[in-house]
Amino acid sequence: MTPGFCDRPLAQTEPSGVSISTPYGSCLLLETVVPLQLALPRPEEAQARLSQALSLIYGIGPVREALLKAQGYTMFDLVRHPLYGQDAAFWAEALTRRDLPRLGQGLCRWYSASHPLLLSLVALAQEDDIVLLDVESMGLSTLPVFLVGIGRISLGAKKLWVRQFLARDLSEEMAVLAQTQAELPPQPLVIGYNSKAHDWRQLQARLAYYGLGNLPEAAHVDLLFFVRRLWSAGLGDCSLSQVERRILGRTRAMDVPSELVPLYYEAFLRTHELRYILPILAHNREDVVSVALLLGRIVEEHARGAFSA
Amino acid sequence: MHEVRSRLEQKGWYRGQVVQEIVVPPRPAVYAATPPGLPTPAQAWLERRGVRLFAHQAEAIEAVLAGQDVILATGPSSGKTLAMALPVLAHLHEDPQATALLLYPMKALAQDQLRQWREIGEFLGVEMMGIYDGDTPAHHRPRLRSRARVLLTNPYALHQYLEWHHLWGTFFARLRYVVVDEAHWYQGAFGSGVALLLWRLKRVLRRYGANPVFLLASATSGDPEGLAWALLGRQVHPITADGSPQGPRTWWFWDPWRDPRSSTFAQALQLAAFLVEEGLQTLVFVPSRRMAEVLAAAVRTALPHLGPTVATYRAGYLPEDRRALEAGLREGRLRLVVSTCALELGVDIGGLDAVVLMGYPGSLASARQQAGRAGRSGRPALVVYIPEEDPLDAYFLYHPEELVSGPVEVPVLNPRHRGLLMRHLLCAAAELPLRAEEVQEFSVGAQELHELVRQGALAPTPAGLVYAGRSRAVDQAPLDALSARQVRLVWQGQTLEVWDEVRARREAHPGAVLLHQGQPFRVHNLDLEQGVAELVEHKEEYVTKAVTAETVRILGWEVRREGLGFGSVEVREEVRAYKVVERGRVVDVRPLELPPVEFQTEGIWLSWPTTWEEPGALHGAEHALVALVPLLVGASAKDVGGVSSPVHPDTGRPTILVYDGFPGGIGLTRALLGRVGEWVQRTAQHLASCPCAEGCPRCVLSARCGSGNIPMDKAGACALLRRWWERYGPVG
Ligand SMILES: [Zn+2]
Ligand SMILES: [Zn+2]
Repeated sequence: MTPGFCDRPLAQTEPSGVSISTPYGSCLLLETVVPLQLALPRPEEAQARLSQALSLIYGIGPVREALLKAQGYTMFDLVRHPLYGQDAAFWAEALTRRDLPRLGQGLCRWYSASHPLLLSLVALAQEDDIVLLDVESMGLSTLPVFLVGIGRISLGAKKLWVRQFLARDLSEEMAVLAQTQAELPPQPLVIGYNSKAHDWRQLQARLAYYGLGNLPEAAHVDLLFFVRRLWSAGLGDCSLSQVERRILGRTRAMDVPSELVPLYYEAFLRTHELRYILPILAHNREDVVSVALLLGRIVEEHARGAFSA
Repeated sequence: MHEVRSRLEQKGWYRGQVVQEIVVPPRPAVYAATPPGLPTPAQAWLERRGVRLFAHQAEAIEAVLAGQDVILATGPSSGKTLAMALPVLAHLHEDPQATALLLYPMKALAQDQLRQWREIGEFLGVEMMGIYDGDTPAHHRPRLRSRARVLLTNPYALHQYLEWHHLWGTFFARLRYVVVDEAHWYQGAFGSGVALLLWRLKRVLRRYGANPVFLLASATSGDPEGLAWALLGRQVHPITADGSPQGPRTWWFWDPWRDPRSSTFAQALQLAAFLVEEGLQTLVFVPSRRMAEVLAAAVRTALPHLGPTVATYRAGYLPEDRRALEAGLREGRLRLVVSTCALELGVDIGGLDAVVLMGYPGSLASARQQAGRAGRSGRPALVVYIPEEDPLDAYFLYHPEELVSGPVEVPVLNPRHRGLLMRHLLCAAAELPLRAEEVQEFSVGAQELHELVRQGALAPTPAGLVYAGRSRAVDQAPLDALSARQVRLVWQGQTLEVWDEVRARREAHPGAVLLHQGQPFRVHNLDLEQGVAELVEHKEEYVTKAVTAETVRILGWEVRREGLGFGSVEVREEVRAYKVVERGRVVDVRPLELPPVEFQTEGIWLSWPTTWEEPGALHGAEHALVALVPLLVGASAKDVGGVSSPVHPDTGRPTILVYDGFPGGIGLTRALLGRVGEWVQRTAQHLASCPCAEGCPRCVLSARCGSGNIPMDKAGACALLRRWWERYGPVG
């Protein structure tokens, strides 16, 4: 048997979900709630750390940052500095307003895409701003997108909501994209696995294809960079399935390998048989869950001091 | 040139090869006032440079300022770049948001043009110009896309980028001008692909609200308006009256067969050495890179004191080496340069004293372009034409006035080619959802689109038809190939060219010697299953010619007239063997085991109202007609095939059928349709002019002939063609 196939005959012709309508037609929404334990630093702590990210200021490098930090300077103190004041004011304002996209871009530019300060950014964000993202498509990055999985975290309720938007055929892609666009907060913090280079760009390309406008400005925390930093030596290939098995210790019951997803979807388009689409839905949901778990694991690693090694 | 000629005649080795001399009187410059609408800074640039505009430049500038699409088809060094760059940059200076996209057929050319555009741009304060192609480093790209005012690229690159149009949103939304330079390059399969690419570009631009003016620059062309129409699908303003001056030019027509004991190569060597010793700075155009090197080396051996003043020029040199060569030519340090057709393009080298054309370069447009390299600021210049042993080459030896000033052939391209069109439709659908009404201009019906939906290549959505294939659409539509089945020419793991399978069978069979950018390669292995021809470098002297046999059936008559038919045909071609030719002599014939290929295409056929004609006469006329097709349409004789039969099963008459060698037809025979009379008449004249008695490789004998040129009757062929022309020609 091909891994991931449901061998039971299924009577339904549509996965269970609700059909939602958008100005561009309808698509299918599936919701799943998963228990999730995630310990993020307190926002005040995160704010404090970020206010010491002095390398954001043009002209300050790691050496000067260490020096100023040792003297207890924060971004807010430097606002009146003759040389750095203007830049410091810019970043201080971004911190006060919790301007995640601006901070995220600055951190990626002046630090790195796997710097622990980005984890502070996650802690600083409001829950509503955090979006876990995983996109399934027909293949290469300009080809159609047919499934978008979005995860929303509630730390208080210790839960992860996974909302999936499925195009039951390609005529529903526009609805999936429009719904995704509508679902995103105005300044999201997007967390995913290779999501910055891939999922996000693919969404953008497809929105542009249909003339549906742009995605909001976002901060990206792409966990792939953290995995490379922390574990690449032991992993060999850094695929998410490898990370799940070796780092998170998860195994999936029913799964399609990522590279077969387009083939399964094509088969579904042809036959409308559930045994082709259910594994994809599960795959996408599990990807979102893994991203959440992986985030938790990375935060733990950081708390244990793994990043300084 | 008079004294040069008399000194030549005193040379011991001279055998009276200059059989014709044509002196073209000087042509004075025609100037025109600077169009008053040209913005002041651009006028200031002209004044500062002391440039007076030629009439065609002023006309072009005026048209561009008026927002008209233009095709400027004038001779080499007539200042086409200036005529386009000045009004475009003047506009960009006035509208600091506006952008321009420049397309060049080859990367090397973009480098060259960038310098010229930059020079004017810097004066006008229009900066941020750059080349954006496969060589552009990834980290420069976002900045170029968002900030550049002028980008230079090539069709291959644009073909890849269109799908990513949203990354180009800023540049595209502000695009006011698209410049298509060297437009005469866009012929045949490549030109047809580029026409469809331009259609896709315009379509994407509409999404961004841009509707730019198109400026086409071309060498002198037989039908510039038609070329522009084919490329853009709309009427553009043609400018063809060349106002640039030309000094007196003397043409010598060199008959190498006057000296049967000396090869063409040996004669060219003697002539080149003679011209250099006469103090004439000389450029020799040769058909291949190897010949360029061998000839240059031979001159250096013959005249050792010339040493470093002799050089070769070809494609593939490093930019700095090329620039040094070009400067050497401009400054007169180099006295003799042997070049492939690479120097034909608009590279600035100044004028030379003498140009030698070794062999007909394949089209009058090219020949004029090459000859145009001779002549510097009104000084007399010399052009020498040395034909190779081929009917087309010989034709111009016998009809020299046609080479000097006859009408240029009509460019041929066919953007409506079904297979090509369908593949570009998929590219278009991958760029933006496709609506049925968008493809009406190509007469693609709902039925055909539905078929693509059924195959899963397209999917219907509320926005239109969406590309649903699994691989990138552009990868299925190489710009220079026509059919879905292609063969990659691979050398040391790198793909040099992509050919249609039909062409590969003919020209890339095992053992075939072929040229890539003038450099010879030999096919080591042809794998039709994998679509790969493995090449090795070819170091030997010989070349190869495929021996083909073909049968053709007529499928449908689109035109049925007395003595003439045109329509769709089914061709069965078999490459049976190939000949190994060394210094013009066949030294071996090697059999091939290749399965025959069958394809549908377009054909044109002549018939005679008799029940029987001599097979030898028909055969000879067929060979000659095929060989001279390039006189009328922009094509190579290899691109067409012919058959003849005393009674053709589909016409019931003695018939000669010439077919378009591209599966589906690229429009070659269709273009002949309006000029059949002229074609037949000129072919008959050529046979009458050839001094041979029984037929020779300059008239009716063909190296490609599958039956070894048997039977053959040259006189009969000539009479047959004359009879056809007298009966049908004057009216057709
Ligand atoms: Zn002859
Ligand atoms: Zn023959």
